[in-house]
Amino acid sequence: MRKLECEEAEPLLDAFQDNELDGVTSLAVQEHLDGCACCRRLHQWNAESRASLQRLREATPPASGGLRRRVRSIAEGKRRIVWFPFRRRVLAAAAAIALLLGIAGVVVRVGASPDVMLFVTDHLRSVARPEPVDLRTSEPREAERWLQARLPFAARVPGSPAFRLLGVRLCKVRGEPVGFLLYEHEGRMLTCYVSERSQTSLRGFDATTAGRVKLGQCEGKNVAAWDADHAGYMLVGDAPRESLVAFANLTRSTIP
Amino acid sequence: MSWSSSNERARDYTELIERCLEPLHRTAFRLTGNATEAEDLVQETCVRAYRAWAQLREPAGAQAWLFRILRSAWLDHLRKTARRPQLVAVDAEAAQPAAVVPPLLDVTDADDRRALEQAFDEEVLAAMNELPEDERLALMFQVFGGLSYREISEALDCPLGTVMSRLHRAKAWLRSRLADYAARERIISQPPSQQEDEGHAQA
Repeated sequence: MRKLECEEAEPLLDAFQDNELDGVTSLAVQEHLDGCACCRRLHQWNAESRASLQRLREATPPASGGLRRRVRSIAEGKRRIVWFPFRRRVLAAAAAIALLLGIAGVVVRVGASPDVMLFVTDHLRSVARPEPVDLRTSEPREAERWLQARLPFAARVPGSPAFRLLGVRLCKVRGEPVGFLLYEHEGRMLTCYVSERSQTSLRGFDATTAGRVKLGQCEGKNVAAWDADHAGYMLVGDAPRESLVAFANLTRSTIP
Repeated sequence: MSWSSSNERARDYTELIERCLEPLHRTAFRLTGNATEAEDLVQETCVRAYRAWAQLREPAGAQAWLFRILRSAWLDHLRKTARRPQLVAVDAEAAQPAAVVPPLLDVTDADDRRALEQAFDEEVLAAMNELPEDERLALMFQVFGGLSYREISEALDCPLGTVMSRLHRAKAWLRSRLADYAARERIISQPPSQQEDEGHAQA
């Protein structure tokens, strides 16, 4: 068996570690590692990054029950369609009627449009995640710096002892990048979305304060939207409306 | 399509999805970096897979086939959103960072170790997201999808050797980023020794 030089062995180390080499090559790499401290160290570093990748793999949240049901229903739905073309039409019509009734019901019930619902849905999903933020921080300036490196506009991050910042991440709403700020207020989770675009023109608000803070309710959550410092803010959570207005006012007073 | 073949297709599809949903979702989650987009991507993949079921020739290669569809759905998504660049042909030499052989970290305290690992993992994730799309896909398919090199070559429609070199370049990039991080944070425990350098020269 020919001995490998470092420049031959080094490109094979990853495949060696992944058990993807044939027996002869694998033995040659092992023999090289036995005699080369530097490649051995590189090999150990590969193990370090491999462990990191393994941790990331384990930290990835599992597929939700909703997704599981939806992908299973693809086959169910198609099968019914193939068996019963007539039933397909009936089902489609029934679904359309149900959808219309459902939308009307939601609008009547909570007075919120699907636009506001986007934020509320994201809030509900996010707080249910084991790791809702990408950067855990209680420092508004740190969160601000993090966002400014990732957003195409200057997002200011408010903070106060009453509204404790927990962390920040980036998300997209209607295809636009939006800063996601998670706060804790009197034991309740609040999500503040900071966007380049104003959110106050969305449908679904039922009141406006003297300070032009729009208020509404959707899916049992209170929502508030306002503008400050050339950015749009949307706050979603269980806190009472007064708390949302207090947060909005705080935003305006702390942002220069 | 007959009653029974439709029934069999639905059964086989359900079995495949049961088996592959978690790796598919893990990969989609890390590709998109977003739970909602990941679910959309997986759902789109499954819809396409069910529609194209007749094209699946080898049941043994079903997982790679599914990931091939995931890749296609993901690239379509990128094209629509133009959020990331298209597949970039990267010159192999240019893409390969200089060989970096930093020393291993030596942290014994469990809490310190965890904090360090978390910081490392964030750095690794950031580095992964900076890779050219073809290398990023190969690495994601391996790490989060659990695909073998052969399955990756089928999913990405490229030779096995290309998979090896893409993974090698991707991991070299991660190593280089980890080394930069370790140097920047001053957490290098010991510099490479003369002996090891000599050992490298002799090998």
